[in-house]
Amino acid sequence: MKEKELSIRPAVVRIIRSQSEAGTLVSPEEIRDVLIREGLLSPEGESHKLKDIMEELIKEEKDIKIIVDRVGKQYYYSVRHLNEAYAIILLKRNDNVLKLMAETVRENSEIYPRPVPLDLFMNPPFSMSLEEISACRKKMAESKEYSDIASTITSAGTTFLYSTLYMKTLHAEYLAEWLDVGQSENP
Amino acid sequence: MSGKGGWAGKVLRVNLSTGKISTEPTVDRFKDFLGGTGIGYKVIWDEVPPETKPFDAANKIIFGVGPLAGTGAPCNGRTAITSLWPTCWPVPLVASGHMGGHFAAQLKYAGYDAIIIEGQADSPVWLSISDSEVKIKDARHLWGEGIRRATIAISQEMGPEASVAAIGQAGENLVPMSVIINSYSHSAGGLGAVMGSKKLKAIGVRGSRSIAIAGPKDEWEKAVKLHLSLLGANNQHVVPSSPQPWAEYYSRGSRWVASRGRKWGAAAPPIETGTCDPHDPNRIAFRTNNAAYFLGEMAWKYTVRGNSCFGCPISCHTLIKVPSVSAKYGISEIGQNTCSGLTFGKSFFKTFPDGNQGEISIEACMVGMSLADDLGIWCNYGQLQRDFKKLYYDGILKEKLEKTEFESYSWNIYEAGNPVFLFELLPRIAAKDGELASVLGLGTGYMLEQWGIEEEEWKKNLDLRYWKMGHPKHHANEDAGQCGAIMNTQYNRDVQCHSHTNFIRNGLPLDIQKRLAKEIWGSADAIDAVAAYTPMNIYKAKMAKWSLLRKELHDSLSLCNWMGPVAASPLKERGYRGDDSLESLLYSLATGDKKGRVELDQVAERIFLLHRALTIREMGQRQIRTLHDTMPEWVFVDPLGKPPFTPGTIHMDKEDIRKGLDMFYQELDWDCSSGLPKRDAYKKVGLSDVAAELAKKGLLP
Repeated sequence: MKEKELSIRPAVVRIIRSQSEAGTLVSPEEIRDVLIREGLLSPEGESHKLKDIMEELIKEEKDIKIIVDRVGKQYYYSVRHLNEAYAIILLKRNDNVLKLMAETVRENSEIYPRPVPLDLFMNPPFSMSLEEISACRKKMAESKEYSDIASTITSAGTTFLYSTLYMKTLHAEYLAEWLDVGQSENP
Repeated sequence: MSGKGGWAGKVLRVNLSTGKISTEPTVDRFKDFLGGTGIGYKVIWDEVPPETKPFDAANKIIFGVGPLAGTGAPCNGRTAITSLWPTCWPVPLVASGHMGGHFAAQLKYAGYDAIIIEGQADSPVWLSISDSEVKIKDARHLWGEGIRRATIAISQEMGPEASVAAIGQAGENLVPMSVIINSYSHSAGGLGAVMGSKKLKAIGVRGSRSIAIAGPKDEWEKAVKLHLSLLGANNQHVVPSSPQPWAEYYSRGSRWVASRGRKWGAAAPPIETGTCDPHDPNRIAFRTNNAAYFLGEMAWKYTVRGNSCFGCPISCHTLIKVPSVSAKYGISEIGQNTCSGLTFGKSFFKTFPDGNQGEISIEACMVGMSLADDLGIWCNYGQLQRDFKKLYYDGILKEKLEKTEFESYSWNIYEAGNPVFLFELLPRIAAKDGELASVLGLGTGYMLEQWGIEEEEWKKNLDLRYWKMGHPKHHANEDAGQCGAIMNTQYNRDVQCHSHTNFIRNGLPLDIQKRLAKEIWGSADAIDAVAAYTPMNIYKAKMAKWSLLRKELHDSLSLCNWMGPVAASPLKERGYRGDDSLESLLYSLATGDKKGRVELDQVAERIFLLHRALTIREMGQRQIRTLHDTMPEWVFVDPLGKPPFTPGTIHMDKEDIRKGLDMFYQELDWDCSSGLPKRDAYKKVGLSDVAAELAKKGLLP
């Protein structure tokens, strides 16, 4: 049994790291399923052993991190392949996509500052469909909570979003045009 | 040679009038000027009389490389070509063109740090350099041929390892807007006609020697690995253009375009770029795809691979394969270039039937590259195309040209965005066929003069991006505000400096950029958020000085200024710091001449100051500030009337810029009222002899 336990731990590390390399978080249930498939864990029982291994592993493998969602569900990832900022987006993607979208816009407007193109949300890690994006924008327009989220369209027809909490409209308009058209025309 | 490594050891001198070929030791005369532009300026200062014109036999053209060319230092493929500049208006002054490719390394391996070409041949020749065997050869059979055919013919004679720098028909016909190209697509703008005036079709070079590294092998390897670890994508952009699992930040404007799912679609089989974790040096070449960056998402499917200069893992030349152009236009389905070279053909047109990033726009790029890189036409950082559109759409062409000539062009095809039009226009520019083609080939300043158009008209127009003296801005107030604007006053062509823009556009959040700025230039106030500028301060002047000195340093060491200085890095664990002393580290280890960052910057200041002295001597004027260091009116005008220093405008305030120039001059110990460097400024960098000559002419403050 001891031998089996010894082989579980490196397998767990491998699973977390490979999932992170693929750009995804992994839950304890998903780890358990893989271990069962690989014959390292029996389908019945032994969950406590996995829990013990995970706790030990977090202390000793410095690249393995836990991230917890709004309802307390845990996910694992390896910072060797997946940054905390990316992990947070992945987590929120499964939680509250409207809030994620607004927070991303606000963060970009605050720290750079810059507007963000709408198509940012169509690509990983956001991976939102056009319908989801449209629905979010509709909700934003209707909610006071998101009244700071504004948009501008460039001469190339690209829509950018920004937060009026951190950016003035003229600044956002200039930067959207600069990012979408101006920068590649001024190489 | 006093140095133990780095330099090849000799400078080759070829007199095409007499046929005399000789060599001289590099280090004795040129060590204090490093190489590249440093050697070029020194030769022009010492040997070319001030009244000389670009196409005179007395003018010289210097192909200079530096002590890092041909070594293992990353991004060392640059050759600087210095001469009197034919498109510099109203009088030609000294300037340099720069080309990547493989010429620099082969020249070093052949045993030379520079080639000084002087005199003029009686009939077309090419120069064959194979180690110590240097021959002036008959090129009558190559005269009239394009660059590709000339390159192939010479390569067949010299062997596939040879690097050939050639001119096309534009250079032969003394079209000032002409280039020198090596390795098929690596061009140095503006000097093709100087080679043409000497009847020098090409230089082929191959070498079999090696470059010694003076320092300990392990330290050199460590330095090279450090440099590689700090590299970003093209232009030293250090964050990806879209979120990646490894990346804390991303920036839409970054040239780090690799991502999972993005493929070089025309490779067989297609190759996925992957996420390109910065800790993996073997993935550096996958980060950049300048075809996709400049031509749009559609270019991914046409991408075969990146193509590199010698010693460069970035591969900013993107090789694309567009099968449709072969049958449609009768050109090769393969094209390769970077930046403005990629968009050469597309930029002539206002619109295309399927939009500005559609298939036809890519076809226009292919046709443009095929013609321009063979005929050897220079775009002057896109000014040629901007001028052309302005002249046509404002009705100036119709007004200036004879009716028969105007109607000899298919303007309906042009307006429709049909790339076929380029087959009418570009060969005529190279052949000086007709008034339009001849005038366009002169460069903007002489073109305006020829047609009686006031330069001020161009200087008012933001869209034209024209700056001064026949050339456009190059990363001016749109990049780093006053710093970029001031830098653009300093040269006799577009400034070709990327030190500041590489930093400003690196993609990091403002607080990180400001932290790095404080470490390098002494204060976070050296930089502002993009398009949210604050008034001038001394740290912006320090940044401008640093940017220009590093440009000259790179052009003299043979490091790529499109990839440095490495002021920031993609590494979170370093707080995104780069290493401001990489140049001095590599230089010291390569040559054995130990110099720290400050000492090497002083050498760069010597080179920069010699360029300034040459400009002053050739102009023969005391009032350089108002006659040379100028900015166009559009810099001071916002199209929407926004006041300066308002977020959302990049335009400058005249009084603030006046203060800014004062601060910049003071940083360099130049006289503020005239812009003339003081005697002490020359003395400080060992140019007292230069100061003495200028003093005799009354050109010291």
